Parts: sequence; C-alpha cells; structure tokens
Amino acid sequence: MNKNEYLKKLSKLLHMLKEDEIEDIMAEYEQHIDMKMAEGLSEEEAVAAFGTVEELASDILDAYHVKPDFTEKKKMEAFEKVQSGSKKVLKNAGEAGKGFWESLKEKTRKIVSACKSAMKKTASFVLKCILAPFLFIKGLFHKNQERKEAGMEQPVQKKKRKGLGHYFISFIKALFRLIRKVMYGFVLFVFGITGMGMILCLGFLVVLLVLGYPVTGITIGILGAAMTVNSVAYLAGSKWRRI
Amino acid sequence: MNSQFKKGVLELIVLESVRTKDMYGYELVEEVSKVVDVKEGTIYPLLKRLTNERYFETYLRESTEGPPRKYYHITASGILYLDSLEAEWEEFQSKVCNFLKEHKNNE
Repeated sequence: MNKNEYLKKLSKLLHMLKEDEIEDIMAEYEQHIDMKMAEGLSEEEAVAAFGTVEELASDILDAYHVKPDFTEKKKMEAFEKVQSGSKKVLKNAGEAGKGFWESLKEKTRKIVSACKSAMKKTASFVLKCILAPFLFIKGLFHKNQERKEAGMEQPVQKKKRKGLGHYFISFIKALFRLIRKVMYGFVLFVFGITGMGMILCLGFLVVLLVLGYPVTGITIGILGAAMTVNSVAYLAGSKWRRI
Repeated sequence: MNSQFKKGVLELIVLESVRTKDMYGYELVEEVSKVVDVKEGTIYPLLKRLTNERYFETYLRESTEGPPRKYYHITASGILYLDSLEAEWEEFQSKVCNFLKEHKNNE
C-alpha cells in the first residue's frame, strides 16, 4: 500500500475521534514515513513498519479506551434497519398510491364522457328549440324529395312541370341553406366569444376564491354558464361544419 | 527478542528517553531501537496513550528540514510514574536475577 492509501484508510478507521486529533495523527505519521524514505527506505517499507492499518487503528483507539468495532457495528445495524424499514414503507405507499390513481383515472374518464354526452344532448336540444321554424321548413323539403323518388313515371312528368317551380324551390333551398349556415356561424361566433369570456371570468373568480374572497356562489354559477355556453358553441360549430 | 519482555520494558525505556531529552516521534523510535527492536506501529500508539494519560505533553517546534515537528515532553506526573516503574523494574529484575543465580549455583 502506498503512503496516501494507508493514511486515508487509517483516518477512516479513526473517524470517531475528534477531527483535529485525526489530523494531528496523520501529520505526525506522514512526517515519519517521509523521514524514513529520506533515509533510503521505499514507501512500501516505511508504511509496513507501522504494521497493518487495522492493528494500528485498534492500538491507537486503545489509548482513548474506545472499542474500535463498537460504533461502526452499531451504526451499520441502525442504518440497515432504517433502510429496510423505509424501503417497506415506500413500497406499500407506492402500491396503495398506484391502485388509488388507477381507480381515480377510471372514474374520471367515466365522469368526463358522461359530461360530454350530457352537454351534447342539452346543446342539441337548445339548438333545436331555437331553429324549430327552420327545421320545420327543412322537413317540408324532405317530404317533397321523398315524393320525387316514390314513382317512376312522375319524374318524367315532373321534370316538365317543374321548370320554373323547380328553380324557385331550389333557390329557396339554397337561400335557407345559406341562412342556416350564417345562423350557425353567428351562434358559434357569439356563443364562442361569450364562452371564452366566461372561462376567463371563471379563472379570475377561482383566483379570488382561493385568495379568500366570498365569491363561491358566483364562481359556481359562472362555471355552469360557461359549460352551457361553450357546449352550445360546440354544437353550433359542428352543425356549421357539416353544412 | 522475546516480545513479552519487550512489552514489559518498553514504557520504561520510552519514558526514560524522553526524560533525558524532549524528542519527536522519529527520533524516539531510533533511540529506543538502540535498546530493543521496536516498530513504529508499537511506539506511536504507546506515545498516544502516555500523552492521553498526561505523562507526556506535546508541542510543535519549527524545523529547518521540513514541516514543524511534534515534540514529546515528560510531565511531573510522568516523572513520578517513571520513578515508580523504575523501582518496580529494579525489584523485579533483581528477584529474577537472584532466582536464576541460585538455581545456577545449585546445579
């Protein structure tokens, strides 16, 4: 072993002594080894003259009436106990946590999808109410189309007859289509903007609520309103896209 | 040399050497080695014990040849202890000598 290794190992074995004690011992022994080397001995020989590092440490500690093994063993035992104990705790916590998160995820998914479908239904209903007159007119058109496809002879005759009427009806159809598109677009735009504004307000209210202001009621109200408005906008948007 | 003998007299030799002159570790090992063969691994722990038991004091003295050296100096209690050790040794050594002499004579 070389000088530095030996001294390092020795200082580790003497760790329970006071720091300045250890430093003092190291300095003295290092000096001795250096002087021995100056005399002509090799580093190995000079170090060997001190004996094995364990014996030397043991003898030094005897001078302090310290049992060399005592503290190290106790420390290791305590450490191992803490280590295994904490490993167990972490494992149990991990498993419990995992199970909890899984079930939570599942429940959230169900709730979210239920909410989505509920919103769609409500928005669809609301929109139908608003557009009832137009849907009525649309229904009339569809009845006409069904009659067209019903018979074989009729188409020939109808073609001739339709002439002007056909153009007029298709014009009206196109007009209504345009109106419907504009309407959906309008609804989408208005409700969309309002919806975004509501979400913004909701954000502010949540911040205020967290800060302690008594705005719980308004927050919940705005939350509900935001959901409704946004779902109407969403439905209008999907209808608008399909036209 | 018998290690038990060595162990017995080592303290005595070390204390006496330092009483004559304050010495640092390396010097002391050389001095004691003139009387009995010792290794550093034996001397240094002994010095540590004698210092902890307040028989020795230590101080640092600058040296021209390197880092400051730690010198050992015998204290008053160290001298008292040494005197008692010498007395014990005298008694012990003379008893053993007489014992051997008697047996030699009886041969």
